[in-house]
Amino acid sequence: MIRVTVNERAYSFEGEPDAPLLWVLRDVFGLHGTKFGCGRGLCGACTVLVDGTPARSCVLPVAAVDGQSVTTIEGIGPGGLHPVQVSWLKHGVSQCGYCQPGMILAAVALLRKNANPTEEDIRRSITNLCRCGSYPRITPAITEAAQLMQNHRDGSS
Amino acid sequence: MREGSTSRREFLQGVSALTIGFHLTSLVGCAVDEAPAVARRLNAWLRIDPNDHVTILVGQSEIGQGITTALAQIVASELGVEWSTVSYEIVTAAPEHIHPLIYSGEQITGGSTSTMAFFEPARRAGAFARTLLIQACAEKLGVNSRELVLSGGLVRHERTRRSIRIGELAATAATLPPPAHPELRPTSELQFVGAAMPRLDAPDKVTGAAVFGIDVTLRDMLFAAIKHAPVLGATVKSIDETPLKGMQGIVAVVPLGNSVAVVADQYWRAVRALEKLGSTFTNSPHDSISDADVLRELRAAQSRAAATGASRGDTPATLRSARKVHRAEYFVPYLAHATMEPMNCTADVRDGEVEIWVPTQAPTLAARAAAEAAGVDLKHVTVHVTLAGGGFGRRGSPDFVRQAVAVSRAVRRPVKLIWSREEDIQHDFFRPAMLARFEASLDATSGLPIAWHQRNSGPSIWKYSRPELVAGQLDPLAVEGAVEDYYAIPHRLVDYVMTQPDVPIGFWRSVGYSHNTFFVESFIDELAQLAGADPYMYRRNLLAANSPITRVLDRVAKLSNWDQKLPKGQGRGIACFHSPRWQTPVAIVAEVVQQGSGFAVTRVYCAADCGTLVNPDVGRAQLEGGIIFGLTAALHGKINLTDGRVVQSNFHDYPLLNLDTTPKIEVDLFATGGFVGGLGELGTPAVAPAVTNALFAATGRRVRSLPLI
Repeated sequence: MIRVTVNERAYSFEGEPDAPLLWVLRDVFGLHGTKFGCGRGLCGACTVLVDGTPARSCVLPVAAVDGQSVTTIEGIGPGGLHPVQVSWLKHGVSQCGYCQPGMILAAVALLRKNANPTEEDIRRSITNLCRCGSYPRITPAITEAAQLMQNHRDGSS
Repeated sequence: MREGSTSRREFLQGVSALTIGFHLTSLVGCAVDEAPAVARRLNAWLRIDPNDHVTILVGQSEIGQGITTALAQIVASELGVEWSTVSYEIVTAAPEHIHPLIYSGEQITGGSTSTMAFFEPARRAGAFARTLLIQACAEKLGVNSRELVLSGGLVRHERTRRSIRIGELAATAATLPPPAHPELRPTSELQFVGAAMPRLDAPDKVTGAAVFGIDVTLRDMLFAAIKHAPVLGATVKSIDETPLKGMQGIVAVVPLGNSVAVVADQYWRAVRALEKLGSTFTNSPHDSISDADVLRELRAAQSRAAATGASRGDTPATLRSARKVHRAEYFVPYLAHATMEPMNCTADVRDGEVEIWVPTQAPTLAARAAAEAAGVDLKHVTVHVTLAGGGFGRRGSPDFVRQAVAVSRAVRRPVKLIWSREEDIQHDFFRPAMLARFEASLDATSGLPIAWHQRNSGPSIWKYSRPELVAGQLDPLAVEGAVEDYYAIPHRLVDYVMTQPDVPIGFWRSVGYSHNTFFVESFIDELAQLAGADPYMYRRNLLAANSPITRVLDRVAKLSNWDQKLPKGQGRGIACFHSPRWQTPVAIVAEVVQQGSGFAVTRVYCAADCGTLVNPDVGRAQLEGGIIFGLTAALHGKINLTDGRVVQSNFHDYPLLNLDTTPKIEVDLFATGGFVGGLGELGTPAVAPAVTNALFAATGRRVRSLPLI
């Protein structure tokens, strides 16, 4: 039996320990926000946070998160939208939107590690694939999200 | 078929309690039992709730292009409501949503035609509803309807300062006789048209609440994984299920002709069982085809009889008598779509009824395919169109629909069929490989071409998918982008030799323009070089008088500082086109920097005139996306064949540009009025030639085949 906390809620899973976390999240726990794009950890659509660290859940066996805490797109903005989500809306980032949960999780992870990323930091850190070509808007969206989060910390918003 | 929709209500049936919470996020302020059971539909385009909420019903698929928002902007503008009260729903089975421009009698999204096709119908629908609501209010207040105005969701009678909300009027309005001639608002008063309204689908897409085809969940649903015969023309020969013994959750193995599906209670179990399944496939005439064969055949075809696409003057005679003829051969490979959401369809076939949930670009094609696969009459089919994680032309083919329906029929339970990325890339309907040979002679004084012959050879999309649409041996899709007449060349011949496809082929973003604009704009550039002319001015001088291209060519030259000299090892390239079916002229400039023995694309500039711009931000995003799509193909896009099998299988060998490798893109999108031009595919065709022309300017190296890396 695998016990995992997802978005601060306790779940248990009694199936195969090597079932990919992605499909357990989606079809056993009913959290469909995390997406399937390639099954080989190449595209990042399946990105979640495991104890705050970004991980590609399509190549992560569920046993690897036993006793850990997972955050999915459904859990990054408890009680409202995360500043990254607010900024994503303002910059009109999403086209088809399929890659965006993974993209947003990658951005959240970056900003937790680096509160003030440069454009170069962003380009190096965000490796998720987007077939629609939303990239031009992602860098300014992350930069503004960083500013929004700074404002929150300063208490000025 | 019966009407389907993306309404949350449909999904709520059979969805577990865990998921109800986040499926509701898009029903603003509505609890489940307030769901629009008492909403009034005023026509095929909209429904109004008692609380004034307006649901715009659209027939176009949302594949990322923002059409559901754009159409809602048009309807809401004619209606006269607040944007915060508007949402959208994709519906099927309404004659009003049949596409008036492309195909015949189909509900379909493609060709960058949705806005141009439905701009006027959407206006009329909004005006129709406004007229009914005003009439209902006139009757309630006992006044003449001419004294009433609808704006901000209120019908107001200025003289007596009374007003009634549309939510209170909708029930009455729905019973009134349809107005004969609903009056449109003046175009300048369409409140939301031309405004960068936030996309209606965006909130769900950033919270993860958006339901794509792959997310559909039904009670009792099973999952299916599929494997296709590796070579076109091969079918399943034998299946050995013994390796599946003892595997958990396996329900069935379903042979499907050229593929085999495994059905299980969880998707990963179906995938693992499929990997273990012993399956063999028959031989096929394509078994020994490799890349060298593809190219050889395209070259051999060049000397066969060709069908004329366009002809003026006497090109062969002029070329024969020319002092010098410049020749070049160009080639582009097969390309995959690689939508981020792989192909999928959910089907429920029971008791002679068929219901499908599918990210489709063509609901009517999907419905007919489902009816055939289930062996039922069309009236027993319901299609629900979900959001699609990218389309790019791939999701018009109903192959995955047929498969899901056949599997559900076999197991008598709802089944969600999901293709792996490997199947998605290897069993695509590819953009055809194409070869072009050019001959041209130049005027001795002006250096401009006086005779031009372009002959394409390659497989025909229409012949492969709808042979009845191909008259003789000419497929218009093979020559679009080559036959247009905007360059004033006195003697011009464009012809085409049809070859057999080596793999399934289909519509890929910008279709024939995806190769012909590369061919034409590269060759024109070669001629400009021969004439010692500036490539921008050469094109400008060659354009017919009053060409719509001139204005975008000038603007992109300005945007890119074309005249400013670049240091050695850096270069700019320019390319342009104008399609009569899209109507939006586009010009692109790319900047390339030499890097050792390689190069980098550092900037892309684009100018486009779409005539009428519904949403400037969405429009710009479409051009940015189309440019990146075209740049990815130019730099990396190729599908190789070995022994008839597609070599590429995932993103490690079919690479896409990412944030780090995408250059800065600047888009100047404007609208001079008078037409409603397309945008969805328009960023793609001119990128490749702009880049290869820039590469020539930077390095002196002329590249005539793609990809570049």
